[in-house]
Amino acid sequence: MTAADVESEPGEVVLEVKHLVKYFPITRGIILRRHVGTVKAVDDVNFVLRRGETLGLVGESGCGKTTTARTILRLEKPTAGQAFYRGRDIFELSRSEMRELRRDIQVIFQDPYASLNPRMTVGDIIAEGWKVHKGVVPRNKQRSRVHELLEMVGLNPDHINRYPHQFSGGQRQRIGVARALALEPSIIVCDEPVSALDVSVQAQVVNLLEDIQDELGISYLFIAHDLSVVRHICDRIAVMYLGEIVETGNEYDVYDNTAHPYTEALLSAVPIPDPALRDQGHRILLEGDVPSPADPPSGCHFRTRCWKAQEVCATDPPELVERGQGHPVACHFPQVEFADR
Amino acid sequence: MAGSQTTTTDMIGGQAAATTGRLLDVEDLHVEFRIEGGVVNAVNGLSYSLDQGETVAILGESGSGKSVSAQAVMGIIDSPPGFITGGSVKFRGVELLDLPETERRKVRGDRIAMIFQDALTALNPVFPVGWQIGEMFRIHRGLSRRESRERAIELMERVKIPSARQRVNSYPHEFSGGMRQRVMIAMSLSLDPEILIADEPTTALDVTVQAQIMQLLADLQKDTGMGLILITHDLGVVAEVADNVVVMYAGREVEKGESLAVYHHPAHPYTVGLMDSLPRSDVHTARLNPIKGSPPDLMHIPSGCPFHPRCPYAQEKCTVEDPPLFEVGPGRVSACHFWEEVRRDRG
Repeated sequence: MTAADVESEPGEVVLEVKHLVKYFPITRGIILRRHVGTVKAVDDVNFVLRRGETLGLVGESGCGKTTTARTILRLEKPTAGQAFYRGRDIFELSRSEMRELRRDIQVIFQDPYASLNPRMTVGDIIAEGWKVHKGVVPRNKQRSRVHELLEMVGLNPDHINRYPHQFSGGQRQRIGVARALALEPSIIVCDEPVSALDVSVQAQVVNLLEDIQDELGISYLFIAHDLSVVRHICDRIAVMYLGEIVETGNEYDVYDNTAHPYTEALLSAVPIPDPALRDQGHRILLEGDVPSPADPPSGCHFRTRCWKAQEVCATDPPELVERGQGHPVACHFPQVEFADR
Repeated sequence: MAGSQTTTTDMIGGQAAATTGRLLDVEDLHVEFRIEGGVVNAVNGLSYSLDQGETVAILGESGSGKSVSAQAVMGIIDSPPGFITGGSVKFRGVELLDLPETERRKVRGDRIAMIFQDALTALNPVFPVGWQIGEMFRIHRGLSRRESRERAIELMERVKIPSARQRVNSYPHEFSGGMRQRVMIAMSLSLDPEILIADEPTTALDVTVQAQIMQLLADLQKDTGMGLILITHDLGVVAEVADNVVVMYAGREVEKGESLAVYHHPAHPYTVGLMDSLPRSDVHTARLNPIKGSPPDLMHIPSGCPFHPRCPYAQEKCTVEDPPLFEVGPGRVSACHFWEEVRRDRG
């Protein structure tokens, strides 16, 4: 059963990822590169993204969320699996077909300082995509279109000739959004788009992303480690641990009816900004660190840190299926009663 | 001498230290950096105090002066370009800013210790962690290599680094981010400081590791009774651990008080703005209500109240008159001309 079979929300599917696998070889030696192991960065990931919705991939560093996105963008070569954009497998496309598709799937990166060319003006940065994708905006309309885009993301159109260093972090991230929008994509992959921003500015960018989605019906694949931001902006959420999705569902499924022990521990670790609730939550402190993805535990990857683990967890990897929780969860002993959250 | 705590009267730089529960008094601190092209006014008036066993959080966004103020207390601001141009920092009643560097060094590490955000850059990559922890004992206490190694292992166990004895000779790169921060904490605690300054100690860490580290700090504080100064931008972390909070904006304190009171009845529009900008993980948040604009350039801080260009309450007065600290409740201050309106609007 794939994730697609379980989901029932309406809306046209724009992206369907099936059994996505990405392994990185570990090699030793410079000339004779011996293969000594494999990092299982992404291991059988399935999800669908619908028109106008935001799917959050959330997890801690090294869980494979960014590799998943990079593989879908073909910035990494997948080891196995398929990713269908409007029915066509992205991994089967030729170079020229892929170039066409890049217009439809745009990216916003985490670091607004590193992702803009310091030698280009804002106007040139935003218009650059049109050099490759001719015909999106006719030449004589490009300047006015850049003006419109700047206005849309809340920047002063008079600043079209300024350089990235003349803008603050939040403003640079707006430029990144305008650049992504220039090609009129149907999907934007947002890789930690607000993590580098201060709280007050972060909220501005979150609101901007929401407004743009409402207006244009774009789908977001939203990758973040901040569980609060993800809850706020995402329609559906997939929690990842060691290359696998362990739980997926809507905001209330994942946050209020949490079924997987990892999700439970993860959520309990998030500090709540209200001193009155200080000693009320039951914090689950996980032992130790995340195991190495080069040598993940057998069976359920989380079993080595799980307080519910039993013998079956070491032998049978739990499938990501609906287990009476109303949403899919990859655990042999998921939480069934939801009283205390 | 080295073991100042063992003498009958506690002396700091030739002055008798107070033995009450009050550890630190910072008053009207000013720090500036004179660089090519102008003066960066990093800290423009900050006052707070810290008692034994207390946790004070200094909350602010990047460029608010929170880290610089901590470095001034610690005495690690490079001068030039940095200059402490005003105010006072009293540790147990003794003015630290007047001490000669040799005396200051005895306070640093021994009485006031500090941990930093990025444990990987704070640790030396070419020495084993045990050697680096043991260095504190060799230099400050004159212990032998063997003794300091044993003490390092004890400390690593105390900060719950698993199999400490086996890992004492490992290098920083062999540890995960969380374990490295534990090494830093072990180092900072080695000389039993009375104050620990933690500058964004968990910002680079994953949330489950953050929870482990904050728990460790809380446990250690309970054991030792040390005072903790927590420098952070994270309103969640502040809410969880701080007794008192100082909110900083553009180098000055804008609001200060007991955490619960500040969170539930904020009296400064900046504090309100921060709270309204924050999505939450425990409940559904409707649309966020961010503060408009971005924080000021510290070389050109706006006239009057530095927050006025972003403030929904701003009036003519705010552009010319820098608000004093108004007493808005017991132990609470707000630097806003219209704090009463802010209070009223928040119910």
